[in-house]
Amino acid sequence: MIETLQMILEGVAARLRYQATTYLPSLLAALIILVGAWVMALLARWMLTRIFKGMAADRFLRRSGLAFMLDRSGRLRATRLAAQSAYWLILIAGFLTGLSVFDTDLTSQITQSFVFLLPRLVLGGLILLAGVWLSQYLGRSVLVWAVNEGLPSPRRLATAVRILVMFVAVVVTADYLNFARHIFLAAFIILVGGAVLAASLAFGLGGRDAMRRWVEQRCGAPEERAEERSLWNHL
Amino acid sequence: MAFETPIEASPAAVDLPPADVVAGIVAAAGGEVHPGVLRAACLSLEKYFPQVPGLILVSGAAGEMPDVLLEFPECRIVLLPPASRASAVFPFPFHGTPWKAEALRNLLRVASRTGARGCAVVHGDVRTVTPEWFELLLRPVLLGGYDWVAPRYHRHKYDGAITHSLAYPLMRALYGLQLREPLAWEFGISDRLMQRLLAEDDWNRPPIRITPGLWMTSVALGEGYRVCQSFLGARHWGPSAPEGGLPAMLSQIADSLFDLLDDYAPVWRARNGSRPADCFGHRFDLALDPTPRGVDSMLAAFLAGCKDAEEVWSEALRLDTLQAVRQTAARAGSRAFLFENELWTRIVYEFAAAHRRQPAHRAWLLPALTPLYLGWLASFILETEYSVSAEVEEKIESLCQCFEHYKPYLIQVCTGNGGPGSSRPAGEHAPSPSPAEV
Repeated sequence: MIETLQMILEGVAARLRYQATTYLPSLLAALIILVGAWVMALLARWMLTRIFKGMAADRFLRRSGLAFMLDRSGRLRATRLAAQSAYWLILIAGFLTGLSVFDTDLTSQITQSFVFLLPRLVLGGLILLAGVWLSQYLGRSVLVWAVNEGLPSPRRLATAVRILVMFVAVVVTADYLNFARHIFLAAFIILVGGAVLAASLAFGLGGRDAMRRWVEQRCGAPEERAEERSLWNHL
Repeated sequence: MAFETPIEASPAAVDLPPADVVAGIVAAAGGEVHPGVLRAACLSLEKYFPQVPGLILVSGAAGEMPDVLLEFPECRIVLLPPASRASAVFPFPFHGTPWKAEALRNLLRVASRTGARGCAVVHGDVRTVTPEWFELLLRPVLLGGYDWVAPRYHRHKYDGAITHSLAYPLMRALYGLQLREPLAWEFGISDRLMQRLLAEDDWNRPPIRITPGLWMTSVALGEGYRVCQSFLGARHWGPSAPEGGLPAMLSQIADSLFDLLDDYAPVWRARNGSRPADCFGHRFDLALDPTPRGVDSMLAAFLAGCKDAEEVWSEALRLDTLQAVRQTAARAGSRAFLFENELWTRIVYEFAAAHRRQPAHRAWLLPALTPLYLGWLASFILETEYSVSAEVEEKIESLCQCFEHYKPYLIQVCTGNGGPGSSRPAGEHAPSPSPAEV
């Protein structure tokens, strides 16, 4: 009995010793690499913050409106963006290098998939970012236009436009990343088709009188509008 | 040298007759020229400038000229063809008059090449042009040594509200000269300034293409040319509003004004106060057609903006300005409704700063000014309902003084202090908002 227990314990100890001698150096090496990467990332961020001016990139961020979209105060600077990007890229690279030290099938697979997926993820993120920018731009344009035209519920119109544009961006991103593409596409077709049908029915049944009045008011007789235009001379 | 019929010439034609004075006419978008305008130009050259060789340039004219020319066989007229299609290509969204800048450029180019000492330019679709218009625009250039003669019109008290509420006060506060019509639909110009304007490379730049008169005024004021104005009388013209209606029109003017702020920033930052511009011609009052006053619809548009467009306004306006707008809207419809001059000034300045800060958002930011403008206009109409011209002038004068008083605030917001998130003007020069607003 005691001998059996002793054998089991020895087996366990041997296994532990084996695992410790096999994985502990790798783990330590991975930790050292990770810490090294972290220090390098900090250093890179510090240096970029001081050296990189990025005036052209700043101009692009400001002129494109991305600075205001990513940071409400509009004070986002290319320097900060570049420094943060470099920081995270070095950290991720350090993490992947640390993983590769273990040299197992699993870690190789993780590293490989991540390296292949990263550019696609970045591009997918950019597509989403463009979607957010476009949805804000079009949403606000529609809002201002609807207010100036005196249309009913301008905010709802703007929200609808924003949701539609964002939905399109999500569908495109999912399609690009090959992530549940059929589900997203089907959902998109069903929702947009349904919304168009619902809007057509609602418009046909309930809104035609209101729309006729509005069109008549907007278009009117050409002579009347010309007269109004020449009389009411804002310039 | 006299022509029995008008000659057609391209701006590059080499054998143009020399001239001392040029009466320029810019044809309407369709290429038409009102017969009265041509008659006035011919009469003016005959009556007021008989001793000097004169020339009439019609730019952008298409089709046959009116028979009126037969009455003036001695008149020398050169027709410049309309701008080519290629030059009329414009980016989306644009609802302006791309032909006008090109037509003006051709006209000035030819006038300069004829060696003219002065040129007066009027629009071919203005029905109230008289021979005196050309004389009043040319004489200060020829005899007074002025480089730029801006027009001054006799207007109904509610006419030209964008000019009175935005273009005039802003340009006056910036450059310190009281020019009533900075948009300069008609103008007189010296050869010196003509050459300066023609040296500009990019006439396709939005402020030049959309509002060439405003740009020319800015150049004249910003670069120290001698500037005056001539009182021309009433101006009745054809279609007044561009396609797109009031929001497009207001956006274009605001866009040009704010764009031109950058061109001469060091100049206008250094100027304070304002002085009256030298004025020629006789001021006279005459009865004008009343202008419709749809105050209710204006107030409705203002309130609709307050209800729904705050999200957009908050991108341009600071918190205390937005709060003041809300308080003003709360008084709409009551006797206490008053859109304060201070509030309107701050709105304009903060929109100018936002225009500079957020170029990508201009397409929706500037049209969002429309409900605010309508709110101001409704208040102005209610305030001046029973006022005579002199009282209305006082109101406009007080608005202009407010624009001048708040100029340090414009400099402050344009240089980046006090964006939409901030709630109080910062800096020692910033005037504090009045208690009524905050």
